Amino acid sequence: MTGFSRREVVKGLGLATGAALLPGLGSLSARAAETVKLVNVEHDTRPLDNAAYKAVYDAFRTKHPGIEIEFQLIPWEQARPKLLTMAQGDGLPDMGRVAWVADLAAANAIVPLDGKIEPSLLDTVDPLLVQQAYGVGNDGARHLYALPWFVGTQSILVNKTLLDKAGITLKDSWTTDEFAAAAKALTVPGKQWGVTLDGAGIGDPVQIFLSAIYGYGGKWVAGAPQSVTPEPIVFDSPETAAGIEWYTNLYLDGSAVPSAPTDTYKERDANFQSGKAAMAWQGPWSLLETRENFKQGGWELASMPLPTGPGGSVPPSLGGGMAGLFRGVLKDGHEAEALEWIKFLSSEEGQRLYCKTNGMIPASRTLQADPFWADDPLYKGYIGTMKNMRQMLPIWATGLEGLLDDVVPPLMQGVFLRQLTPADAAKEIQAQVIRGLQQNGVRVPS
Amino acid sequence: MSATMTARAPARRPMLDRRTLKRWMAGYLFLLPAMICLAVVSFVPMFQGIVTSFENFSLFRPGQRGFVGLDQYRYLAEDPLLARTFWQSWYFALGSVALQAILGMASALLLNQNIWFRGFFRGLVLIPWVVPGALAAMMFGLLFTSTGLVNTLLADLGLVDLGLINAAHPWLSDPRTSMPTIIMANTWKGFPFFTVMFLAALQSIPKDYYEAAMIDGASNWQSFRHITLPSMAPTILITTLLGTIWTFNSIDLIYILTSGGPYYSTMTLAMFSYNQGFGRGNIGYASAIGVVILALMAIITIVYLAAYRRVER
Repeated sequence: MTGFSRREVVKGLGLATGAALLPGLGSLSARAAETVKLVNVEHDTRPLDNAAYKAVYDAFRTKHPGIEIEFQLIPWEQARPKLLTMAQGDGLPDMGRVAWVADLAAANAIVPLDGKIEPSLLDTVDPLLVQQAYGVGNDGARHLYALPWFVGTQSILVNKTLLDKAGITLKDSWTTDEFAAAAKALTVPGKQWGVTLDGAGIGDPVQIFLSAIYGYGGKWVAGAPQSVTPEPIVFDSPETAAGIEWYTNLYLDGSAVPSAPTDTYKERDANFQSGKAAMAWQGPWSLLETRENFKQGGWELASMPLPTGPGGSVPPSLGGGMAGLFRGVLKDGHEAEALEWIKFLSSEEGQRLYCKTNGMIPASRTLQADPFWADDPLYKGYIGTMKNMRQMLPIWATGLEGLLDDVVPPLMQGVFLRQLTPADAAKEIQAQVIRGLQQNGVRVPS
Repeated sequence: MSATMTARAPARRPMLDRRTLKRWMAGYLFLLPAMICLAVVSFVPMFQGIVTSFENFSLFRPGQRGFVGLDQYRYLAEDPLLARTFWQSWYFALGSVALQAILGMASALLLNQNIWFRGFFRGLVLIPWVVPGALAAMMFGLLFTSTGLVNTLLADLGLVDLGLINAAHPWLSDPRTSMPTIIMANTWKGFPFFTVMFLAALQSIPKDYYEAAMIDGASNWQSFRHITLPSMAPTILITTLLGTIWTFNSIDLIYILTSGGPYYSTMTLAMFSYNQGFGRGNIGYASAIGVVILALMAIITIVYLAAYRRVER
């Protein structure tokens, strides 16, 4: 009998292993060819947001098993500059949350959706929220860039237990004077303050400050914010100065937490959740978590609409979660698949799954009527404020949001510290915004 | 005379003989990897930054990057924030470095003594240095908030009752106390580096000097002034130079604690540059500010090095 040499045995084993693995490898490569992998970017990093995405993604996968999505997070404070620099380096993801439509459109970072989606998709969304998804592209034309899926409106979040103690009842509407009086009544010097405000950081301090000003009739342009042609800036007005005066007086008369000038949204949330402040002017972020914290502290959480300014001027509701396509998707050639995801996320099914998991408010008016939101006192103030939804920032003003984040907080702080008058602050904000827009290549008519 | 005239002149050695050349080549070859690394991570970006400062590079205008000459520098010269941020940068850098040097010297002198658990204390003193900047900032933010530990301690000490301080004084939100608070945080974070450097220098001073001084009847202060300080002078100079450069360019503590506020009271040149570049998207303008910082640091380095040479001599 002829024996096998060691070399022959190894060779035979190798061939047999290869023969066994080949069909498997074939099917693997076939499966890889069928699966499309996409990258979605988000900048809210709260635990329930991850769970909300998972709920939507699980449902999406049952309908689109061939699309795999990797969810990436860029922290909120870094998201805007990071996306803008990624656009320069051609390293953008495929899709995700589009929070700065005008800026990202000007930077050519996002893809217009005109003609790519069925208009019926936006039928149930408030038209004014849809307007916020429009921006001016590199071609100088107005395009739809995103699909709203939740509302980021502001309201006054209140510690109902502390309000009850002070004899203040919840109302469906109130004036700025009533709000200021309530803040004062809720203040116990050195221990508890009526309201917590954030005077530093990006996003919130500017949006809250501006909505107080809009509530007093201040505005950026006399015409429609949807115009693509630059118009004169009219921010420097007596209405703006009056709005600044009212807002900063909350701090100056001692009704706001003393660290307001340098508090960011994180400190503001901590002040409110620890009972240091009885009211907070904020968006619907982390509502479920806040309510849970409140329960542990023996408090009850509720919301009230933003207060109405003099002459019935109502502060508008701003912002929201909008899903769009980033330029990276064009490089991959998977635009159709990415579109499927953002359409599903902004569909009623997607909105319901997302918003019921993390407690956000859906963009669809039909869903807002669901008892989950309509009957819960937690959402009452937000839904009440949403009746006054309108766009305030002109879409032609390239880079305005980033500019405001840089210009407004220090000047607001100047008024908080009595180093600037409200009128001077309004004048300075306008001058710096015009100068910044010019540096961004926008010719602002005088 | 004639003999001298006729004698053959000795053959002149060439400036670079083969052996020397080989040794030099080997030296340069060993240096080459480090030089390449330095060029890639330092010189190329620095050169690129200088070039960008002459361009109108904005993140909002992709593909429209053009040469604008000295325009960015002209804008900068007209910017009312330039002078303010310039002086505040010095306040922050020199204030921090001075306190770090004093604290570093005091702790180095203590840790150079024969004390119990000296090794343990030498390790302990390094903790602030290894704590990440962001964490240190958050810690100081909590300590100095209106209802933070600092105010509680001051109230317990009776300073509030004496009317010396407000019960809920917002240390970081008051422009009179915001920068000193940040300097305090930066001092805590950075003094261990000074301690380590000074301790190493202290240990290298021969004991004989002190023994001789003691025999001559010198006091402790005289020994410190005439032996310790002169012996440590080169180390003190280099450490303070490095500390000044690092502090001048750092933004982590300021960014997290105050973002440059309130009302620009903690805005430094580095923070100003960051805001222009990543807040407003004006990379060209931010680069111009960066070049100004580079020029300032170059001047400081030259002055320090001149002082260092004099001290060494």
